[in-house]
Amino acid sequence: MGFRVAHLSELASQSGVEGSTWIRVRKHFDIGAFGVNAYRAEEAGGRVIEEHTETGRSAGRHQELYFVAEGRARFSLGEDEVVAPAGTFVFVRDPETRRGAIAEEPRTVVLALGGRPGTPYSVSPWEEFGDAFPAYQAKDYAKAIELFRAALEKFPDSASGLYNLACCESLAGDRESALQHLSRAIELDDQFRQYAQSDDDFDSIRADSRFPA
Amino acid sequence: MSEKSYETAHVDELEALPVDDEGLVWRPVRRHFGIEAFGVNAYTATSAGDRVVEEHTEAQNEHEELYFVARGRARFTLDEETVDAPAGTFVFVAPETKRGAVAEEAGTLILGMGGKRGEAFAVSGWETSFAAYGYHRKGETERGVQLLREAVEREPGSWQGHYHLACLSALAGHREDALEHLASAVELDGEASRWASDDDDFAAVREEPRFRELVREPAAP
Repeated sequence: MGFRVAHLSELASQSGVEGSTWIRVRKHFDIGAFGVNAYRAEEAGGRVIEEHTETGRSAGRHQELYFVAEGRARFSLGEDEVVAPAGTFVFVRDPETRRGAIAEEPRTVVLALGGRPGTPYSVSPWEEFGDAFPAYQAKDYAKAIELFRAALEKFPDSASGLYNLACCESLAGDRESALQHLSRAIELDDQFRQYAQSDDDFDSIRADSRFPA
Repeated sequence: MSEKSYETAHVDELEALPVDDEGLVWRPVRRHFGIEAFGVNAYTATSAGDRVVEEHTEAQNEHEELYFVARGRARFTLDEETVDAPAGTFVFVAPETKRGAVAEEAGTLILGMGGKRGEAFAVSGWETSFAAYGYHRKGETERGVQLLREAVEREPGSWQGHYHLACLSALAGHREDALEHLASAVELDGEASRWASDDDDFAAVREEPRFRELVREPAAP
């Protein structure tokens, strides 16, 4: 491969959190040296960057550099807020700082670069598991199960991955697998016990005596 | 001393360092923020026709590079091919591919991001010498010399460090320093001698006997 060219508008994308669009830059080019994605909010007031830290279980303790490519974004960075018009770089050095961004103009696009100092780059769990979400949203549970299983091969102890797999298995009618994976998720992270109580995806298996209370 | 948890800067506020004689202006993003996880730079073109990515390969440090045309329009040359790249275009380039780009519009802005697959990121030595020469081109030669002196202090075993300091010292008119550092470079690696033999930066010291000795071909056995 000498080179590959693609326009932002041609790249595969999927729904991100709170109405944002996640544009799969790194995945398109199969970049292995650093993480890179783009996010778009269609409307002013829409979320463009999910609120997160880099210390969650699915995260990679990355330094992140954001670049506002189009529009204008209002970043929240810890306790602070910074308005960032197109052309602004926002570098978040500390993985513990909570960061997020809301669009202040329609069609705001932000590039995000990430990596961890002193460590070779590897794709973060959230990105691997992210592959399965479009299938889940399209109710193609067989496909979603396949993709969650593939990601779990790389990250076998991801509680959220196991939980989401259990949801799909429940929706697909595979009660045994759903119960098994849900139990394992809760074993790894007890907060999933709470989520399971009110998660519609488990309606078909909730009555089972083995369903975690 | 505590480092700030975050920093912001608009690309137009970053230092503008002229890199060559074709109008290439480097905005040292990684350097500005002290990013240690990946390489990232920005290049701006004042006029259509200005170079916006210098011609090079990344074969030596084996970096994959992703370019993003953030504003304007560029014409990339990738080995033998030409690619038109309007704003919003990504160009991903393998390390051994020769790449370069010229702005087709005034105000073109390109981001370049890079790193080596499978290895932790390490800052490239070229950054310091590019910054130093950038200061020189802006008429701040002494500032460039100072930067290179600090680099040599940090890495006294790097022949390229001594070599670049020798060049810029010569350009600054510090003839003794130029010869001293060229001697150090040659002592560390004979390659320095070959470089110096046709490097115009040494014009001010080319006639010096000491210089001639340093670039002399070794006697045939």
